[in-house]
Amino acid sequence: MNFDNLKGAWANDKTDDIPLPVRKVPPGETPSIVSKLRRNMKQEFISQVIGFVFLILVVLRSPQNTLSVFIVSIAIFLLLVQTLNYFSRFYLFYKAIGRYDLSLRKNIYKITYELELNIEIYKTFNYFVVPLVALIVIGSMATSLFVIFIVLGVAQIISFFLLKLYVRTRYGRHLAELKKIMEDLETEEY
Amino acid sequence: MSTKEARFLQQVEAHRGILYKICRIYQDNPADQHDLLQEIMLQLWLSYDSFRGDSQFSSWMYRVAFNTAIVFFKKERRRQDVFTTAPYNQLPEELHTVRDQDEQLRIFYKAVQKLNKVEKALIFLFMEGQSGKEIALILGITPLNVRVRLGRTRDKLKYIIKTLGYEF
Repeated sequence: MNFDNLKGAWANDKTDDIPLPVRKVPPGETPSIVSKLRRNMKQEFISQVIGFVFLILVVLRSPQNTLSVFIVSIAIFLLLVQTLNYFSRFYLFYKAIGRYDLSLRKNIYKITYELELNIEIYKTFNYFVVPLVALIVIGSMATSLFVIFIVLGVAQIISFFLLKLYVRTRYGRHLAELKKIMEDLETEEY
Repeated sequence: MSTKEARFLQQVEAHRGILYKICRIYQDNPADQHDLLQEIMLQLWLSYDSFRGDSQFSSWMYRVAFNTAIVFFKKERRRQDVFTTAPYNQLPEELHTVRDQDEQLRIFYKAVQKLNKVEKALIFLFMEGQSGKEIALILGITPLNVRVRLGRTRDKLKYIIKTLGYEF
């Protein structure tokens, strides 16, 4: 056997009788890193909206005092601004990811870059938002600044570790594989 | 069905061999091959507007299909399956000669599974008879780099086939 034999066999390989459904355009999304990302992003958006509704309900049902109204109002304002900012970036990423007509090298670089960037933005957003949500929930009931600081500190630490774990579980393998492909594509001139 | 969709399906149908072979190279079991084919079809359709006809349909199809196959991770085994030409892959004492073309191709597809994703793309384009310049354009690397990598990949494939017990 040699490459000429193989090329001959390759050229003669008949595919007419293979039952692969190439006769119609598939209707929906199929599994790939890009499709998975898009699905995750949709889920994130939906859970964020549900989270907001839940948060407002909690705040409305909580006892109010001057300190809590002041803190909760500022926190809700910050949360709203950051969420709008994040989701506008999120939407651009959602639309831009996955241009498949580029060269392999450009495409891999683009997807890896976008994925890493989005993961970092996601982490930063959540490092900020999780303590803020804790502040809104606890702040509406708290009467002392000391309790608020403690809650903020604990929420920050928990969110740090949980987010790290979440991102690693959800995207870690894909990111590692993309980076390996990038390494494999690195130019080596001889 | 719209005229655009009909034209698209007609062009894909004319090059269905490319899709089938890419799926066989990138996935080793029929269920994953089928899923990959669906994904490539979807991406070809979604990217169809970017095909302006100033290049061959097959060249455009190679790009979209490779870009899809390379980011398709479903059910794929982890990288420890990827072959390295380390000394632990000992050559068998006796190598069998294979003359039947279908059997040669079966061995080839089995061996190709041990290559990494970039090597798979290189060997596919080589088997398709693409020139170094064309391969360089599709992969986005230099023609010199293609020559060096292709040489190494061919050597690696030869070695893998030998470790499977067949002469090459």
